[in-house]
Amino acid sequence: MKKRHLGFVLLALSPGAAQAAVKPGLEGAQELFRQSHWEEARGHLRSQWGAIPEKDRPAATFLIGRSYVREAEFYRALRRFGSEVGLAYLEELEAAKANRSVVWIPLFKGLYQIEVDRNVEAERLLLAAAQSPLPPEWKATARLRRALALQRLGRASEAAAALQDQSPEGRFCRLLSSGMAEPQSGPPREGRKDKLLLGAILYRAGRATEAEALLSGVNLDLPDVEENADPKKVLRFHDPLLGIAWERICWERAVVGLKPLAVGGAGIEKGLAAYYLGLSLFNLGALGEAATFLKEASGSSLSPELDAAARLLLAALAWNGRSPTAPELAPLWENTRAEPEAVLLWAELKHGDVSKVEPFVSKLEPRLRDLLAASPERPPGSLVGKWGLARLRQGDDPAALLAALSEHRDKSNKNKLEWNDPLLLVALAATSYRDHEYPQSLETLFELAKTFPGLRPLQWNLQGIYAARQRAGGEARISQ
Amino acid sequence: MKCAMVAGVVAGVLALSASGIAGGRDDGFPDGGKLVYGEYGRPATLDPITTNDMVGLRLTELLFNGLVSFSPKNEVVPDLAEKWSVSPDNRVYTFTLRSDVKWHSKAGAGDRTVTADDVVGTLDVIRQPKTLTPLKAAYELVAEARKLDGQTLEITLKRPIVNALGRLSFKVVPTFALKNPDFLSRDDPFVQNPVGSGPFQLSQLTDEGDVVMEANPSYYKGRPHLDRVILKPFADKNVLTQALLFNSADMVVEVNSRDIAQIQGDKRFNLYPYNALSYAFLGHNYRNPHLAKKEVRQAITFATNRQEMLDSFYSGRGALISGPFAPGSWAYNLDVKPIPFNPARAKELLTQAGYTKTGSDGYLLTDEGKPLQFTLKIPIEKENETVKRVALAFQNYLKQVGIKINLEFREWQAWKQDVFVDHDFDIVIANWAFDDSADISTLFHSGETGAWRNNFVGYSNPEIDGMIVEAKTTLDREKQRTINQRLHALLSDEQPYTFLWTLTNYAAIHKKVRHVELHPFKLFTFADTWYIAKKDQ
Repeated sequence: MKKRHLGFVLLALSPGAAQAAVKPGLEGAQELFRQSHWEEARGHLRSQWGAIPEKDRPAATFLIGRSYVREAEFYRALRRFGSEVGLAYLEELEAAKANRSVVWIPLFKGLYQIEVDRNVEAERLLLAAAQSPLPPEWKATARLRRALALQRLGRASEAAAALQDQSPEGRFCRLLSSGMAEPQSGPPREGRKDKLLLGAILYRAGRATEAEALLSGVNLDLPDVEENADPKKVLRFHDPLLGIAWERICWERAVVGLKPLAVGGAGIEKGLAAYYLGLSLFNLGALGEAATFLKEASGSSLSPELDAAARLLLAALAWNGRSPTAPELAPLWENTRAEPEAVLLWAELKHGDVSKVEPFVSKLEPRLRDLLAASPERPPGSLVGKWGLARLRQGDDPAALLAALSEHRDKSNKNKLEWNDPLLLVALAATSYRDHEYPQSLETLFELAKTFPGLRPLQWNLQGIYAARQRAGGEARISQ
Repeated sequence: MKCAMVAGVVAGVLALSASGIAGGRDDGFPDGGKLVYGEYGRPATLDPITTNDMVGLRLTELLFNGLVSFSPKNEVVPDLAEKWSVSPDNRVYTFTLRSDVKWHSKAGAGDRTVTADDVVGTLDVIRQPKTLTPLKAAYELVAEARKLDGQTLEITLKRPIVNALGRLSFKVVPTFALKNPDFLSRDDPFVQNPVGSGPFQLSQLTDEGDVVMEANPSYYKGRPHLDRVILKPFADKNVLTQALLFNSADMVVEVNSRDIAQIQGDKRFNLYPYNALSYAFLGHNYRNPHLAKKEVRQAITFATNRQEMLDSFYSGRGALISGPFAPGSWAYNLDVKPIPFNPARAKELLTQAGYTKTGSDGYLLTDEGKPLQFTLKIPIEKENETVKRVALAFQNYLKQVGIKINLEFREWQAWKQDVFVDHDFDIVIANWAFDDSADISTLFHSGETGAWRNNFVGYSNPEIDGMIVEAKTTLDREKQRTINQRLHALLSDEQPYTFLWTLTNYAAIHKKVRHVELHPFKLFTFADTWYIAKKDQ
């Protein structure tokens, strides 16, 4: 009984390769969702909401919320990939003699170092950047972000003063460091950076409508700094904080979309909504609320894989930042290791602040490989993508990983998200990058950027790395 | 002059590991078997200097060596040169050649070692005005090449340049084997019967056009594992896929995009991404006074529904492009969007260009009262349905805005003669492929318009010329990127080409061929290490 109901909902939402003319109502939206056109799926439902039969409304509401969760996962993967690439690009710039006098490089390098947990180096670089001849607003950025690095290094007292900054950036840093949402009063902000950061804060403060009004028309693809002291040379710099803000906004949108269903809904969608709501809140650091909804989800008719994931998240919440003990972990591992999504969640927790789970790190990869290999059907692209990204974070050999991921790619439509899940495509792009296959990576990002805003910083930085590292001789050949 | 030794640890290790193993390899893989690879067309010439197409590039990768080569990660590694040093001002490169590289055993060449004379001679031949080669521009940077002793030579550049070593990866030929050792022409027997030093040597050209190559037993890295490699030319891309599926070929270098799904579903084959930096284009001949008008060229692009063609004829397996670089390139300007399909705008532009009268047949009239018409020259020998459909659709789109397009189908070699030598065309359709350097200088610099040069459309713009030279000569890679991205924007506006699309490119190889690694542009760079298990031979 449980499986039959769930099967219906998940089947309807599972990615597929079909491409058809968009049908009206829920069916059309589900088709768009399957093709990973999440924004279009939502637009489709919203534009026809009045015509959607009452019986379809819970599923339609769930689809809207679920699509934001998928978007948040996509942007999280992109942000991580972007941080790695961004730092590598700045290192390439730094290494070139021609860029020695560019004051932006140490600043942005420091900003990216925080994103890859190189806080000791970041703290030093940003201290120097705050004293360099940068414009005042960027000196303030250097001070604030240094404080963030200090806090992550456990030197909270040294960070405290700087973190009192009342700018949108200061408030956003406090949101990240302590979960405090302090929306700014006063006139509306004009700059895109301020709008994005304040949008995320407003959302956390429960003021979604104001947040959306502020975010309307914000261009995620613009650089934060364009340096062209030499008119024949343009350098662009992108602040990684905006990627963090955007990912949070996606999670927040999921929360707003799913909450009514998780609170007031019924049936299968209620449990599912509670799970994804809990997951979203977990990722936003709203741990108390997350626990409430995950408990509710765990008590409903979830599929075994989501049930295992919910139990794992609840356990992580119960550890509350301390390292779990081996007796706590062992039964949890045994109870969740059969479900790929849960195993991937273990991999995710390993990299989060929640806990250290080193004894189980070595078990993850072989377990994931076994689970994927044992899958009777072609495993979903999102699962393969997450698996690839987890393996990449573990530092797996990119050539071997690329070959493994390519097995799951529809090659005739190699970069089309209607046929290949966006997470799989991000995993392929990130692995190609690690394997020095820059054109393959850029080609994939080029296609993704047609649907998803905000890829330009990553594309720009990756192009820069490729330009710096290519050693070719300059051949062009014609063919039929 | 003081020299700084720069040949690094990698160079030393590779040189050591490759020394003294000619005749066999110690990697434990078996020798034997043959690889038949299918190409769309056969190269007109088989040498690395006069050939100018992708088929020829791939073939010469099997037959010849360069001074330096590339690793699978595209790093510069030793090849004929076992080490080198660079002067402090980055202008003088001194190469020491391996002493164990022999020319293929053919009449007059057998057992002769590759020497500094050959390298210097090859550079001289490339730069000689009588040699017709698209490589000339690349070696204008060389001020002087001279032999220091039998195995040592010095190449002096006019100025330091980015990727100088990569640009010195030219394939070396035995100049003593040329009819005239000073230059190479297309009537030299060498171009059909070349002698190289690479892992495979030419054995036979069959009546069917097959190029049969055999393992070079004296190859300096050790005999390649495969006994034989055969290039089998096909005049039809559909037949090429069939040949793979029915075992007439073991490999197809570029799978017809609509056949990828079928090959992916066949467990006998592996698909490898290949040649991402390529695109299709319609080139407009500036020698035609109507096409010399920017409005006309822009109108042609506005009138052409490229997305519809890509979707209809290639099932959408590719991406529209907006300028002279592929989207996978570092030089692609992401701020420039492809010109949209807009026939009304096309008509406006044609009116602006002075074509205001229409004849009874609906076509616009020139000042001479003749229909505004162009010939599209298409390089297909037989029925290639896809390209033919593209041409017919183009003809139809242009008809809608009052331009008459006449279609002319030409065999590949005849097409190249018309386009590269006689410049006898109005519009052509073809594809360009690039290595990582994204060097478009030969396509659009005004100095590259002569016979067998790549600027066959005759494009000439002093501003573009200046930018091309600056992009090539700057040592600042970010500046190079900026200039290239401006070139992209300018050429997108100028439309010397209607830039079409980049397609999904895969090479397909039978799984019996193992240890396969492909160079993303040259393809066969590592083919000497490929092998076929005994049971599959």
